[in-house]
Amino acid sequence: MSNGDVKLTISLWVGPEREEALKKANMLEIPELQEAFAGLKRLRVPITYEQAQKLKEVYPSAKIDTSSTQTVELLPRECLDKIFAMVIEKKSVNVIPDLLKSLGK
Amino acid sequence: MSQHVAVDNALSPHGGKLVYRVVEDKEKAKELAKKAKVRIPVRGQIARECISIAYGFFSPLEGFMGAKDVDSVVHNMTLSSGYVWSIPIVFDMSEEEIEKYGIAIGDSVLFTYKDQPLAIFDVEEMFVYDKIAMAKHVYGTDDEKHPGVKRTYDYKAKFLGGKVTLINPPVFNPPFDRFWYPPAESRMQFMKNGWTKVVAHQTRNVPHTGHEWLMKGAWFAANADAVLVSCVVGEKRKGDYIDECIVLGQAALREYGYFREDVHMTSMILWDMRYAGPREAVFHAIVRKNLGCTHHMFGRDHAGVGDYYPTYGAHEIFKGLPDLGIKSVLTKEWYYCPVCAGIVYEGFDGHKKQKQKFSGTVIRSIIQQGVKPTRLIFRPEVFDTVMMCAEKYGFGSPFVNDNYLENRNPVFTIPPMEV
Repeated sequence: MSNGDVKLTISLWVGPEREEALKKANMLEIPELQEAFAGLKRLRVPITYEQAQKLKEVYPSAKIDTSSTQTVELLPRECLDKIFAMVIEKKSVNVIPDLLKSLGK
Repeated sequence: MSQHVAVDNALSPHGGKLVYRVVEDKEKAKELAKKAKVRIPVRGQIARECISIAYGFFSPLEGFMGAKDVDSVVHNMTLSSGYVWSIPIVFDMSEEEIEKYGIAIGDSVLFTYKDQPLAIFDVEEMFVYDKIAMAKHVYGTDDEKHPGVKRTYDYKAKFLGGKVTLINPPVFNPPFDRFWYPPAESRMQFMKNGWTKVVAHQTRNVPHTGHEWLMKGAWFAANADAVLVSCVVGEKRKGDYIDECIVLGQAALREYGYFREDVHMTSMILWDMRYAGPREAVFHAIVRKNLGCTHHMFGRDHAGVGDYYPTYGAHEIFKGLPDLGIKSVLTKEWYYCPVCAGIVYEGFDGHKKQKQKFSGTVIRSIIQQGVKPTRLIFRPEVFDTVMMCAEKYGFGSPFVNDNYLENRNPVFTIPPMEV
């Protein structure tokens, strides 16, 4: 399998405020939203390795972990907030293509 | 091997006498400075240790250790007097520096910090010491990846022992000023509050509810009048919580009623962590005893780093020591139990399979994302305080970054002094 086929995720923490927004968007029951710790939930947004590479060009601090967690870590808060806002707006976790487009990628 | 000396008075400072070597009379201070042979600029660690020595945090130490004390601390975990002491407190210089400044035994030299006079150092001896042996005994390893070992190896070739006298006391800057309680003042404060039993909580963290329950559990276990949160403020590393988040986050627990005003106090000590695990636990106990505490709480991985020490090494080390005059409150973990729907103690919860531990990585990730968690994880006011500090003091981050290291609000300033 080439890196281009690797399926990664971006984890977004979902506290009471975000949970309320997801509830209004009728997204509380989606499989990408799971209980993580002490009532706090985690929303997993899918991203491919290629998309992650493009995102890293915009946010060089990002860390792409293809060996253990299969996640994209250390994205700045502004990026994560934007992703969450797009999830709510689109009522879907498949927002990365639109995110990259908005970032000129 | 020297004999350990037990301390029989729980409220006495370590060694029996609270050290106070601060010259408050400005004219006298200037005179001492003028008499000094030479001015030597010192780095942050040495400046912080001069201040801690002079105010008695390190009682009975009156200065930087001489060879006999260092050797006894390294091999026996006592001072040469027999009093328990676990970490060498040393001042180092290179041969070239000693020659350049023309320093000889018997000299009084003026330490300066950030170009201002700070303290008089009376050079009583100069010696060399095997740094590998020092590292092996104090840290249990000679691996230079260990930050305490690295600090030891970075010491210059010679050590100088002698008394320290602070001649230009630091001025603490907001928000740190209201948390600065040197031993004489913390003892006075305890007395005013009518506290005779105070349990210390050592921290470099912003408090999540697991920490809060650790403190509350220790308060119950010690049947204490109060908890003293003693924040360690010293050299920072990238990724640490910024100091402002720590002191203000801890204080928020009291300010927002999670601790009653009359059972909680936040303070700080100036100390560059050595990460010496169990040995550092002993050191912390002594310093908090000097602050007037009667108990000290020790949890898992106290002052440890990596996997150099057993999880509960700090619990074991006190078993081989005499009564230090401060009792250890040994505690295990508090975690979230979804069955109990609350924060519970490992010692009595029967749902271990379902337990959800507080993970440093998860907590940091939550804070990094700035997403307000459930109140079971963070008190909302504590979280808001952390976010406020990130904006106000941390250049947008609650964690230390390059910008913070270079441009931070200094904890204290040494005021100008014309000599």
